[in-house]
Amino acid sequence: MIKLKKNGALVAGIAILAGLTVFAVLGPLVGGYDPNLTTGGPFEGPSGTHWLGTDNIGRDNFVRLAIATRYALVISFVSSVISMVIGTGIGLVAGYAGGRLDNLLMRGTEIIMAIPAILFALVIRVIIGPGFLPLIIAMAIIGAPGFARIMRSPILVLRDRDFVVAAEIAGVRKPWIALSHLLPNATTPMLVNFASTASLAVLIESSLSFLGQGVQAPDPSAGRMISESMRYMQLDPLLIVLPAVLITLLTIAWNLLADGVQMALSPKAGNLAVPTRGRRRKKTSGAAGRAATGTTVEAGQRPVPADTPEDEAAPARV
Amino acid sequence: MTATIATTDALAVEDLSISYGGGTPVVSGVDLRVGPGEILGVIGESGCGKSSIGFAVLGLLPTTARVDAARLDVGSRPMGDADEEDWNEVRGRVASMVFQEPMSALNPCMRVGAQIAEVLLVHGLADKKAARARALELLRLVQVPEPELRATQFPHQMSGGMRQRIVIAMALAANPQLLVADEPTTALDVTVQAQILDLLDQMRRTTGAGVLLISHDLGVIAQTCDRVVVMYAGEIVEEGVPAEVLANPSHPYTAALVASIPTTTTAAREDLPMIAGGVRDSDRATAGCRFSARCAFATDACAAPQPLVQVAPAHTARCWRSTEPELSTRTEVTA
Repeated sequence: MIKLKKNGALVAGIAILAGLTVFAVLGPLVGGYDPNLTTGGPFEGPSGTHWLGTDNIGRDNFVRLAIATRYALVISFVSSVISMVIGTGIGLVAGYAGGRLDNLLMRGTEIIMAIPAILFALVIRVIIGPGFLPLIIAMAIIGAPGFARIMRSPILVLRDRDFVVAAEIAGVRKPWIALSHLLPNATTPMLVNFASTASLAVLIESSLSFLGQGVQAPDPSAGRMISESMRYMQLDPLLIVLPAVLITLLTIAWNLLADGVQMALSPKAGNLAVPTRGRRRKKTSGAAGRAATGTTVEAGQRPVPADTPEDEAAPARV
Repeated sequence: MTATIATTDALAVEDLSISYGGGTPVVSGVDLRVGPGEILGVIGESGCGKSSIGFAVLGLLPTTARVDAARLDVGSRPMGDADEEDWNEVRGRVASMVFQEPMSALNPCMRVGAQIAEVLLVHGLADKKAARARALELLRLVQVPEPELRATQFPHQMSGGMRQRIVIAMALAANPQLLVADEPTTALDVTVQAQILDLLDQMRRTTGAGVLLISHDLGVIAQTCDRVVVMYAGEIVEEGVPAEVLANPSHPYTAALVASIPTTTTAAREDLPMIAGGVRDSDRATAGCRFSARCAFATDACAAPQPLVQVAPAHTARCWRSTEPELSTRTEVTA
């Protein structure tokens, strides 16, 4: 097992994300108000009826914040998953195929990376139109090149390793080699980059919403809540502080998760459990034996090539 | 396992030459024959082309390499002008490879049982259940203790020798006729090395697979091979039974190699004889003897093309002086 005790970043990241998820799922039910309806007077302070007060037109802040969390979590998670699938696929093909195809794919990702993310998202929103889905599509496209580049470098090292050659000699088809031999050995950079991309997605989503191009009114989103409350900043600072704290928590949580995953799966960090050797394994049996085998899955998934420069496998900081 | 002893040659190569990017051939005019159940040793220093041969007979050289051969039969299949599809048919099934580094030859994220079974599955030789059973059978064949347990383990849970046994089991999975072993024991310590060589020896007896054993270790060759081919600068300089070749080296290069092995009678502080210089590209291009530039016995006549000369029954050497008694007994080398 990954040693959680030593890995504060991982524990904190997971804890914050779990807390926010619970808040997002249960918040509106517990709060009991419609997030888009006036249910009290404007600018009410925190009270027994409205736990976090109300906004300029008397909507309940607690429920609106919960819905905003819901949007932020779903958008960052889903768009990063799509980015991961597309980007990892591109990185695998480019790294393994090499040559002209590699060149073509990498130049393509560079073109996307050359365009500022927010601008790119705005352009896509203009083309596809407003709404929830275009937002996710835009952010999935923005995140994909990072995955492609981060996956490509370990694949370049792995593809020349003997076990890949051995699989080729054995007549294993290349797509299957890519999926069963290359990908599992490059999961660490992939997972780390997933968390980093999700944190970036939170920021882009709130930026777009702040500009009025993200989640559409009247639905709440952290960015929109900030932009709407700016005018009343001096009257009721809480209206800005609440969504700002939400964005901060989400970004920090995803980044902590990225660091934690990196630490947990990096062989250099020494956080891996010592694999149980065969001699000792003999005594364990049944469930214990299987559990012991399970531990080795994590051990086996570190970025295997010892000769991979650590920086290459390290996550891109955003 | 019921071994089907093949009756055709595991490998038959005639006039093989390999060059990279249109340069001087790194291997030229090589004839090799590996009979069923035979171990043929290929020995030579780094850069003499022995590994290129190993890859060439599996069709694994990069596309920049040019391979020409009058005959290139793997199993009984002529692969002289085979395309990638043909090679895919042959690789793993008719011919397979045992790698040098048992750690990197196994996928660290895959249970070893699954890795062995994969070979059978991709060739459609067995369904999932049969492949798993066959994997266990192979583990037993290569004398892995507790095969049921080992099959579910990952490579890092095993010792180097154990991993090399797994690599051999993988290579044997589809009952190939030819096994190319490229320095299979270099990464192992000496006692394990002996075990693995012993295992290879048993495997070719039980499965009837011919083995092309590539090595730079004379000890390995002497211990294991039925016949040995000594390579120098891309061509065969001597061929014969190891005991005979090592006891009576008839080419100055082989003689120098043998002389450079420390023995129990070598004095503690005495310098070992060595062969001065190294293989130059121009050596591969010369028409005459390629070793002449480094040879203590070279004369003007060495500039003429050298055929393989019979020095004893089943023992040939590419040196016109090889029958001179002085040469075969003297082991003095250039300092």
